Amino acid sequence: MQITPEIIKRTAELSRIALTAGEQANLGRELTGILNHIDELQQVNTKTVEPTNQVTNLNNMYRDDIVKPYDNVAGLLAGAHEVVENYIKVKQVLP
Amino acid sequence: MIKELHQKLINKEISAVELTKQYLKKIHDTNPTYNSFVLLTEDFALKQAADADAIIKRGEATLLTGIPFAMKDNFCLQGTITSAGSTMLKNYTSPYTATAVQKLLDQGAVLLGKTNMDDAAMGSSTETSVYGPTKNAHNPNLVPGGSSGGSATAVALQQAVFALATDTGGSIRQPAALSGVVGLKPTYGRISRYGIVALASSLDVVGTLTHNSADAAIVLEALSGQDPHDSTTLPPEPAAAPGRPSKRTARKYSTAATAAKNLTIGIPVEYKNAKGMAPDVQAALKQAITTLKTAGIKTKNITLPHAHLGIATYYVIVPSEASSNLARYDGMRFGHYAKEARTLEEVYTLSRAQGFGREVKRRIALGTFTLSAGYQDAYYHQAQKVRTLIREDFRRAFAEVDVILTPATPDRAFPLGAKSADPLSMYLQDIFTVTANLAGIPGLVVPLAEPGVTSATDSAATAAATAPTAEQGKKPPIGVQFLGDMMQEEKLLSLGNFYEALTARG
Repeated sequence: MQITPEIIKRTAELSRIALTAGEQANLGRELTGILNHIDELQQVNTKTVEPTNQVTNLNNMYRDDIVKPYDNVAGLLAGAHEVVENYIKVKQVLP
Repeated sequence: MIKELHQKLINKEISAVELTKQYLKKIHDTNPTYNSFVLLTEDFALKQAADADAIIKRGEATLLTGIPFAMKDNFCLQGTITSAGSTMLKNYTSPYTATAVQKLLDQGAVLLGKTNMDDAAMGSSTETSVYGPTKNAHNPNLVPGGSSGGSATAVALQQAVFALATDTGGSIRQPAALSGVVGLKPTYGRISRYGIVALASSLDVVGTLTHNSADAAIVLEALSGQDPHDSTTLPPEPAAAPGRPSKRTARKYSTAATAAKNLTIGIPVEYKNAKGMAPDVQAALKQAITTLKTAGIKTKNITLPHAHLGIATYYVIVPSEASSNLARYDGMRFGHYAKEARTLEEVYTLSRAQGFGREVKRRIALGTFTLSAGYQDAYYHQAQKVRTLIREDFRRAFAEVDVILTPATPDRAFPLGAKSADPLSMYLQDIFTVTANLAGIPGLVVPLAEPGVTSATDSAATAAATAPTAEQGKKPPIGVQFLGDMMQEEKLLSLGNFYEALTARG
């Protein structure tokens, strides 16, 4: 699998990471190398094989929905860049 | 080691405060050379130690009361920085404490501080941390392995009695092998991951680095169990039959020991002359098998026909899950924020560009690609199916044997910088460890007994006194890996104990 500059550009957009032209070129080369190794998976016949999503077979794990007091709101908000009256302030969303 | 220290504490030969001060002094003496700790919780440790002394005085001590430990910097402790070795989180103060950590603190164990790791736990050398590289306890010119290199060096240097860490594809077992300590990756779902920075959620587990298998058993017992805050933790199961213990009930690992001599060990034929394995590692492994056979352990050849696909499968699944997990770092609620951003879009793209290191970006890009429209079936879904084949290999093998013996790593510790330019060669460090994560089964790495291997504490004493020097003509250590079926940690730990006793380590 050859990773083209177009694929790298699209991937960077989807992953919301600003990459310089140089970083994009490096990444294209590195991903092509890694995918060359990964491509051995394509040789495996899996027509009748079910995928593994998880290994515990647990599903629908319920717990009681209990409301508890929480006293560390300041701690939760401390990581945000700008806070106004317990709201996180972000840049304008709609143009 | 924990049991011996516990005896000294309850016999009042030493107080928990004195013990904690000894370990803190060791850290102060050796950390400038080895950089294993990135944060010391000194005041907190001394307060906990004083509390532990009160518990001991009341006669209520458990095995872990007053025992000084360390944890990888991806475990949250309320009010401290949890960086995960990353620029993204280097100023992130945890608003809460991880369940695993709380369980240890509740028993009166003493947290000394947090240990270094690869950026976002992505790496096998602990060189990509925002705090700079950690050095191998046996020779500071070598890497300690990774991503839990700080925890491995801390235990090897006896800067802590034991250390918590995480293992997604070998991040506990590979540094254990390269640093000459014991590393346990428990069954997936055994220990709560609440309060731990996520890498790949279908693979990540909490585990330990310890001096020996007996200590791993004690800490595993303390950490195991279902947590309402982590829906992937295994619940206790009703007993299979009246009078028979439930398979999922947390076992008394520290006291119950399977008779190791009754275990049958499987030797995968695929690993006998595995490509890329150093000849002297191969020879040391053969010696270990001979040692166990001579002691009366039965061995049997088994086959793991899909194991060679482990790395390829892993490097589709991990980047895919990581690209999804790391989407949360958007500069909004916590983590690095790009102040120069002019628009909302730029807050995302610049914060992520500045906060993530090279390997993290590489894996996010790879995972975004393998999950993207048009490629998802060929990569992600195909990898999930091959994952099933790898699991079935183990299921068949464990119908015949109790434990599988494999190499832990292809080679001994390598020099700092030796693999930094070639991501694939770094990935191949985990060739023998990733399959356990893909299958969800437990794995234990113990040091191989060999003549002419360096001793970490000797080298640390030298390094503390003078300039760091490798011991002349001696080799750094290497490990052997034992793999068990789901929830069968007891067999691994019993075998580990048995091997350590045979080789006079314990």
